[in-house]
Amino acid sequence: MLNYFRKSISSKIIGIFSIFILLLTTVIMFYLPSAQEKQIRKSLDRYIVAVAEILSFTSGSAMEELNMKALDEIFNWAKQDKSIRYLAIIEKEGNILASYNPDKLEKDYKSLLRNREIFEDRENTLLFTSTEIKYQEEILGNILLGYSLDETKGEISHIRGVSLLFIIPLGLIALALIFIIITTVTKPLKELNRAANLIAGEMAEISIKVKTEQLETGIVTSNLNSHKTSFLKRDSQVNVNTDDEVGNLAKTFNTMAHNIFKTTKELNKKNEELANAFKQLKDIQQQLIEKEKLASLAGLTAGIAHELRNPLNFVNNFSEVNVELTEELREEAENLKDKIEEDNYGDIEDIINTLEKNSRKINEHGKRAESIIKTMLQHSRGKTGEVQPTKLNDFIKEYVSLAYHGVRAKDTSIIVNFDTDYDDMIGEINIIPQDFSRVILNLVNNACYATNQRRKELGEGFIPFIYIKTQNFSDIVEIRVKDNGKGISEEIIGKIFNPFFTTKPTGEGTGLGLSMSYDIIVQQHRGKIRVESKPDQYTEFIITIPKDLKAGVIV
Amino acid sequence: MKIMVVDDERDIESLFIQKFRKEIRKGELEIEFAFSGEEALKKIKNDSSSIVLILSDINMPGMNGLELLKILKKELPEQKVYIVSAYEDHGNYEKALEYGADEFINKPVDFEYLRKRIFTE
Repeated sequence: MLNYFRKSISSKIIGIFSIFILLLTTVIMFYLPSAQEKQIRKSLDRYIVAVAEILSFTSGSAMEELNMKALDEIFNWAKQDKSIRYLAIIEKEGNILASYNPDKLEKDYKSLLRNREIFEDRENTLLFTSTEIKYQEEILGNILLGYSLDETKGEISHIRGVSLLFIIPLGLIALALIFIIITTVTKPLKELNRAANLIAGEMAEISIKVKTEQLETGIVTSNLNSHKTSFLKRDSQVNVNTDDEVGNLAKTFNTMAHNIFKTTKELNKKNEELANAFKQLKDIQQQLIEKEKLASLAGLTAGIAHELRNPLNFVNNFSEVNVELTEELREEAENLKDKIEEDNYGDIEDIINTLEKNSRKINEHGKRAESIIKTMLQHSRGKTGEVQPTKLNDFIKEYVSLAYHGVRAKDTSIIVNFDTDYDDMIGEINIIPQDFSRVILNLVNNACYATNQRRKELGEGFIPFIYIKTQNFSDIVEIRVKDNGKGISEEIIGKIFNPFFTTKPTGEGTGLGLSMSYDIIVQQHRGKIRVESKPDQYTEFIITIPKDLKAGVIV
Repeated sequence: MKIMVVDDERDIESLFIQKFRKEIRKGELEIEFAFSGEEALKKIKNDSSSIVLILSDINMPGMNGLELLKILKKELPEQKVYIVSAYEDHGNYEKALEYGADEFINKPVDFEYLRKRIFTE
């Protein structure tokens, strides 16, 4: 109960007012009437004493003369006041000369003779007083007067009753005041309190989330889940419209709550953006790391390739010399033929032949190794080609043909049918011929290889096709190279442009062709190259080149 | 006819001797070998007149072929110097020309070509 009182302004206000009303009621019910009562008693006492005095004055001479008629008149005069319930003239000796006792009071009132003092007879609600009756300085006796308090008491309770009536309007006024105070002050305050609690509650939630996230961050690999943070679920506004301090407080509060709401929303948006940017950064970081690895690997490979040329050079040269030497040895042996046993000569001949064969083999493989290295180094060599306007369709035709003949030169069994669609609207396009040609050669080579593989699987019934198309657009040119070969599976299609990635068996390819083509198209020609494929159906490479590549520039 | 071959790779000596074995056997050719630029300069100073041609690799530890070329051309401007290089980049080629190389030969060395050049000097 006390707790409730502590926590609520309303209860405090009600309490104060209750105490106030209580005090007021106490004052009205008890203090005022009793004060009045005392006043009334005081007046009454004086009045009674005065009446007794007057009676004693007037009855002095009558008593001396024993004028009973006069005494009667005096008594009649007194009887007019209906509150006088006892009147007695008592002689000095003590006997009652005349009395008026309508209520038949039986008491020894002679003992009440005290001059000018009031004696209260509680039993009969009477006030008694007595006065000495004097005549010419001689005390003849006393007059005893008994005055009823009934009337007075009636007056007093009447006053009390009226006062009580005042309590009702006072009570109503108090209630009204309480109501006014509560609506003006407590209710808005409660509203503010409620809204503030809401905000505080939700901010606590957010700050807890932020704290846990701070624990997680700090390392690049952490996961920012802040987009899941709840923002303030609504703009907590308080509905108070007055212009006074409370109203202004409410307005300020509303502004503040709204700002908090707005700021939190922005914070959350920023958080989401940050989380996204962070994720992007991580992705880019990964990509960069991959690129670094590949770049260093590529550099390493180029370095290795270069270093290998020297030893290979010796292998080739010495093996060549060996072949020549075996020839000389054969000649020398022939000169000595007659001096050697036939069997021995046969052996010598065989050995010489084997030596020659071996040396040739060494030379052959050495040259093969050299050509592989040459190709690899060619791929990684610096690009210093010039941009030149070139008739694109003719250029492509030429290199498609070159590529096909090159492939057939290595493997005469390969037969591919070509289907072409060259857009006549394409005239001269700015490209770097030396490098662009490599792209065409690479793509056609790959297509021939892929279709040939499929033919090996499916047999003679399969007809390999390569479809070449060029198309003119307003600001770009599009080149498509499509084959009906094995296709590229979803798992590896993302990797085909990676350097050293190849599906060919070891020794047959360097895995640099597409990577090289990608660089040439994207970096040197500022174009795009992408691939579409369905395994066992087709593969298509789509190249787009912007027409605005500046001529005469060394890229 | 005497030529000098400068290369830090020792097998070059064996290779040259084998490639030119017939000419050497017949006494038509004599090959002097140096395995560093410094050694080459020392040997030349001892015997400058008879060397018809100097063949030098570029990449050697210490003094490289181009530096040797520069010094040779300054001190013995009449001496013919061929530069041999494994690198096909233009930088070395231009420098060699600038220092006055008489020829720039790419590795792997074409010995037939070399034979022709030597015996027509």
